[in-house]
Amino acid sequence: MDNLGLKVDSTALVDSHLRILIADDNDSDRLILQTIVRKEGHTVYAARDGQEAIDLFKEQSPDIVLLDALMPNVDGFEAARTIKQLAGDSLVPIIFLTSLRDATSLADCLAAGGLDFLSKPYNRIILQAKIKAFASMRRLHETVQQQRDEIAVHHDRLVHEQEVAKQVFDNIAHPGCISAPNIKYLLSPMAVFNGDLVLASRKPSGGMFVFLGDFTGHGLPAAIGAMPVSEIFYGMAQKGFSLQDILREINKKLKRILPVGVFCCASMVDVSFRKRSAEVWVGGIPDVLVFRAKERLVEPLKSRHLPLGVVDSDRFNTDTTLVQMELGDRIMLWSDGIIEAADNNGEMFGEERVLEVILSSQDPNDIFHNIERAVEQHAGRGEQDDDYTMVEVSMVTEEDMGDPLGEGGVSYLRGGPRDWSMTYELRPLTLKEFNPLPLITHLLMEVPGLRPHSGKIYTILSELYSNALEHGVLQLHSELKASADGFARYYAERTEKLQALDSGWVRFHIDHHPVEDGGVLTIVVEDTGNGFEYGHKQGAEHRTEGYSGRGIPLINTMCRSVRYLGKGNQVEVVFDWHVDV
Amino acid sequence: MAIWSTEASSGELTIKIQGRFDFSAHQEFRDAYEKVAEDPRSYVVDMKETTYLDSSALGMLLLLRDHAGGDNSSIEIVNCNPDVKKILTISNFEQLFTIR
Amino acid sequence: MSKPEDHLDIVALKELKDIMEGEFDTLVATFIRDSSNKVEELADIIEAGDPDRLRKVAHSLKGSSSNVCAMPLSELARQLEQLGREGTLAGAADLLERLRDEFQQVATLLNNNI
Repeated sequence: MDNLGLKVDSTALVDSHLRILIADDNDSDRLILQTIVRKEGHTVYAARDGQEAIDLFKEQSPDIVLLDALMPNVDGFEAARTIKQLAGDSLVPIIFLTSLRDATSLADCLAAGGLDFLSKPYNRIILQAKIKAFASMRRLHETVQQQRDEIAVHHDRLVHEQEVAKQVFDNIAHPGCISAPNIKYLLSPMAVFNGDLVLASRKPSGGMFVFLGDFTGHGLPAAIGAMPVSEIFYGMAQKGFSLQDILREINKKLKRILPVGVFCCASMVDVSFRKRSAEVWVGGIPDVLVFRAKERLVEPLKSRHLPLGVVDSDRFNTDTTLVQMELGDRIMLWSDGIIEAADNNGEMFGEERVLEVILSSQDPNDIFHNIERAVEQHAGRGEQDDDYTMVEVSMVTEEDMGDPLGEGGVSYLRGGPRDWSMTYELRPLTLKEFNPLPLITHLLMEVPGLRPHSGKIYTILSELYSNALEHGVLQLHSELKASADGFARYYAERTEKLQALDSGWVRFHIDHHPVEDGGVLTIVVEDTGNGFEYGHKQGAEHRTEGYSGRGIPLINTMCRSVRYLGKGNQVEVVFDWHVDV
Repeated sequence: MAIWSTEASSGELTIKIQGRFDFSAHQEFRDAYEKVAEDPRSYVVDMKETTYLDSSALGMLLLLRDHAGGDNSSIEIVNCNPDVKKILTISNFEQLFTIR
Repeated sequence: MSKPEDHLDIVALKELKDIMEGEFDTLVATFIRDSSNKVEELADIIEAGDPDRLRKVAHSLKGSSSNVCAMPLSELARQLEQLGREGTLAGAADLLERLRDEFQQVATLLNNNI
C-alpha cells in the first residue's frame, strides 16, 4: 500500500517569476506599473479596461491580478467578481489599484474579491513586497489544495479498501445464527472497524455459542484479528468442540499473531436449552448481566479473566460460571461502547443507567430496545460511527429454536464423511514405533457431530488396541498385572517383546453409517494371537479380573454391544451415538 | 496529558501519568521507559493523576511489561482512582501487574 | 518664474526616471497627451454640468499626476473630484483654470527634462 505522505508540487511557482495581469485605463499609470513589475522579472499582461482584463485572464490565467477600480466599460469591481468566478477553486490574488480613500470604496473592493490595495503614486518597494506576499500566499493555497485533493483521493481509496475488506470480513466474520429467535443484537455495519465482533453458532448438540469480542484499536488493525477468531469459532463450534477448547484455541492464535499490546476483550456463552443453563466466560469486558424474568433482578457476572491474546496457553484460564436459567431469563453481553457512550458533557452512560433501564422495563421483551433508546438519548445521535455492540440471549425451549441441523442453521451432520468403512492393518515395524490411536481418532472426528463423543471413542479404541497388541500379538498375560511387582515386569516384558517382534499384526476395521440424528460406529479389532475361550465372557457377564483386564467392562457401559468373534482374537464394539448429549 | 519518569538509585523506575492515558500518550509513554540510561530492575506506574485510561493504554502497559521481561517483569501500578482501577479490574490486569 | 520643486517632487521624479530608463520619454509624452485630453474633457464636463463624470475624470487625473510626481496638480484634481463627489460644480470653473495653469507648468518642466 502507498503511504499517505503528501507531496508538495515541485513545479510550484517561484516568487522570482510570476505572470501578472495589470488593468488600468490610465495610459501613463499603466506604463509606470508595467515597467516596475517587468523590472522585477515578471511577465506582464496589460489591459486598458475591465473587459480586456477578463479576456486576458481567460487567455493567460495569470498568477496575480492588479486591477484599477475605476475603469470605463467594465469597472474593476465587476472585473474582479468575474475573475474570481473564472478562477474557481484556485486562489488568484487580486490587488486593487486605487487612490480611493473612503471606507465604502475600500469595502467595495474587498466585497468584489480584492485582497489588498495599492495606492497611487506607486511605490516600488511596497509593490514588490505585496507581490511577494501574495505569490507565497498563492503557492501555499495551491499546496493546500493539492494536499486536499490528495487526501480526497486517499480517502476515497481508503473507503474503497474498507468496503472490499468489509466484504471479506462479512463473509468470514459473519454473525452466524445471530438472527435466531432468542437473540437480539445491536452491531453497527462497520463495527468490525471499531474492533467489535459478534459471532453465534448452534452446536451440533442443539445448544448455542455466542461470542462478543472487542479488539483494541480502530480501523484495519482492529479488524484483522476478527478473521482468525471467527474461523476458529465457527470451525470448532460446528465440529462440536467445547467452549473451553474454542477459547483456548482463539487465545493461542491471537497471542501468536497479534503484536504485544493488541488483544481482544471478549465474553462467550455456551447455552444449553435442554438443561436450561448457560456457561459464561468473561475476559476483559464489562459485566455480563443475567436477567431473571420471574424475580425481576439482575445478576452481574464479572470479568474474571484476561482478554484473549494476552497470555500464553499455559497461563490462559478457561474457568466459566455456570448459570441455571428459567424460560424467559436473559443474558446480556456488550462491549464498552454502550457503557462509555458519553453525552455532550463527557458523562458516560455507565452501568448504573443500564441497570436502571433493565429494572424499570415493564415487559422484559422491551429491555433491549429500551437500553438502545436510552443510550441514544444520552449520547445523541452523532455523525460518527457508533460502536454500540450489544447482544441479548434469551432462554427458550429447544423446540422454539428449531432444528439446529435444519435449513435455517448450519447443516452440522452434513458435509463430512458419514458413511464409510476402512481397514487399517498395523504390521510389526509400525507396531514398534507408532501409536495409531491419534490418527484413527482424528479420522473419526471428521464424522460430523461425532466429536463430543471423542473421549469415549478414544477409551474404546485404546482398550481394544492394547488388548490386541499386548495379549494378542505379544502374548502377555494380564494376570501379571495383579501385583505391583508383576506390573513392572509386565511392562518390561512388553517392551522386550515389542522390540523383538517380527511377525503378526493388529487390524482395525472401522465402519460408520449415519442414522436420523447420529450414527452407528462399529469397530472390529483383530489380532494374530491365539485368541481365547470366550464363551463365558459375552455380554454383561464378563468378570472384571478377566483376560481383558478392567477395560472391557468399562467399554461395555459405553456402547450398545461388545462381542468376541472367531477364536477370540477378534472383538467387535458397536457404538450408537446421537446429537443429543 | 503529561508523562514523566524518575529513576531511583535502587534501580526502580517510576512513571507518572497525568490526565488521560490513551493512544495520544503512546510515544511519550514508550520514551519514559526506553530512554533511560540503565535498565531498571523494577517499575512503578503511578496513576495518581491519571483521570482515564482506554484499551490502548492497557495495550501500552502490556508493551511495558514485555519490555520489562514479560513474566519475569516486576511492575507495580499504584494510586489508581476508582475509574482507572475498575478498567484494570475488568481486564484482570492484576494477573499481570501488581496493582496497589 | 516659479521653481521646478514648486510643481514636482524632484527626488521622487529622479527615482522614477531611474526606474523607467529609456521609457521615461514615452511616459512623459503619454502623460502629457493623456492629461491635456483630460483637461479638455473636464472643461466640457463643467460646461455640461455633470458632477459624476467630473468626479471620475478628476480622480483619474489625480492618480496619474501623482504618479509623475506632480503633487500640486494632483491636489487640484483632488479638489475637483471632491466637488464632483459632493454633487456640485460651484467653483469648478475657477479650479479648472488653476489646474490648467499648473498642468502647463508641469508639462513644460517634464518636456524640458528638468
